[in-house]
Amino acid sequence: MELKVISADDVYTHLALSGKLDILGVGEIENKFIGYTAARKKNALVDISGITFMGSMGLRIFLSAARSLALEKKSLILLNPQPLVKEVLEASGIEDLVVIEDNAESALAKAKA
Amino acid sequence: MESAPEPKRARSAASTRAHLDKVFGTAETAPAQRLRSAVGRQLFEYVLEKPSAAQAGPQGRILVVDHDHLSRDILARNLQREGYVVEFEDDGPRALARLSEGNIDLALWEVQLPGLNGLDMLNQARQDPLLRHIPVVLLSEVKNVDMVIRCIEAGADDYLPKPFNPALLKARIRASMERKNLRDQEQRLLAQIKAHQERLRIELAEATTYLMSLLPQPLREPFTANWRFIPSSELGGDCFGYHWIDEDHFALYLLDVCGHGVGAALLSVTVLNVLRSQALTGADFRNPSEVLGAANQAFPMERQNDRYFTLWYGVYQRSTRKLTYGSGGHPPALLFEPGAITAKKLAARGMMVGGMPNSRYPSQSCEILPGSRLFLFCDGAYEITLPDGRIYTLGEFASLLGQLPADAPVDLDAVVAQIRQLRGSSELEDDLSLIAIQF
Repeated sequence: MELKVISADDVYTHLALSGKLDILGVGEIENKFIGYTAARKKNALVDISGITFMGSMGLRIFLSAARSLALEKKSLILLNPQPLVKEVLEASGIEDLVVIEDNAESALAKAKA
Repeated sequence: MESAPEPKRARSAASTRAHLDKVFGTAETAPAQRLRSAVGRQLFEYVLEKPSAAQAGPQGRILVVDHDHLSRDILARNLQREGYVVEFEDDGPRALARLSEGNIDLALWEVQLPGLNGLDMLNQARQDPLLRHIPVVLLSEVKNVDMVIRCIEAGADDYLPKPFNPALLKARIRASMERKNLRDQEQRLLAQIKAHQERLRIELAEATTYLMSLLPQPLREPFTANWRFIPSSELGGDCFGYHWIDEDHFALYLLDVCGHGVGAALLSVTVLNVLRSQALTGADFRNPSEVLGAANQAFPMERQNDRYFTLWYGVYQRSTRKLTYGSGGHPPALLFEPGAITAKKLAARGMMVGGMPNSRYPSQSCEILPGSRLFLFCDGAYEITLPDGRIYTLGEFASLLGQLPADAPVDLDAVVAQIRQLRGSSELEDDLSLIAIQF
């Protein structure tokens, strides 16, 4: 599992995740991910097009980050999930708390809002 | 150096000195023997005149294997002075037998032994699991260097040339003993880890047995309900159940706590017991929305070690043949109407339970035709990494269920066998829970 920081300025954080977000993958990136999302208290745009699998523990780190950001009135925006990952996200009901976007420009606009 | 020897010690020294005179000879002997004589006498002086140093009790037990009694006596005195307990053997087979009895920390053995030479002994010792880890220090005259090299290649730990240099003897024995002690410590830690793992395995098995005892009995009337539950190797967070709420309402549910292990299983069993005993404050258990909403309030993830769970909860009303259901982030149930090979996905919108306070869980409903089959399951039933790296899909799993013979009872074992085959292993990464209800 790889977490790449694309940018982290005063307005928003832009990350990219790739790999298998199962229990092992979560262990590899969880602290860093929470550090760049919940701890920064900025809108977070996360390109998840590189995630090939997402288990329940993967959902948990998105949920934790989104909950923390929501307290600060900030958003977690997930960009471009692969079809199977999108299916998992939709089934989880996490859309009530997380923005899922397929359009990069629209996602960026929401992150900068 | 000048301290007066004890009387017994003096007698012993005089006797040994006389014996050494015979063995080592005098200044007129051949050069090689004179060298041996000089070192031997030096050693003799060291043995006799240095104050006894067997201070702090045994440092270990050493087996000296040498047919040269003089040589081994000198060795013994040196070793005893350092606090070691020393035993002797004359030949290889007896030495191996003694080593097999145990309680030897180090073996010092002569390369050229009668009966079994040093190399043969080493080969035998290194093949024996009981003897493999006993350090062996070779004793040899310088002329046997080739044999010494072969022995070290075969696993000997060190080599001491004869005649002995006391300082070298002390240093090499101490180094070998330290290695042995470290290896013993490592073995003890390994044994502790194995014992701990075994205890953990037994406790996990007990937890699994308890969890299984909470699962419902198969149902025969007025419709059939059956299930399979295959816990993962480390126990997961799946639980499920069904029961009659009253004569008309039948509740069925399956939940999956995120993550694996005892932590997930504990929360899972707690929630199951709450659902079984209908113990959620203010919730009408005939109403899935209320049950899911009340569970969400009762089990917020911040108070459950940061764990949430997914839950599919449905209520079948016998009098109206209506199924009402709700979902907290759980995969849809699959409904096969009579004769259909494609399934209706019984999905409902709702966040994972415990994920966010005050989440809403709107219910859905559908009519259940006689002869319909309903399947509830966890994501472990279809989130399978295939040998080519591709992930098996919910759609493919639905197709698998759709291919089950319609004119026979649902064969859940065949489904489980197919899943195992897809996984390529009898060990499952995740729990596998599957309920089948045939109306």
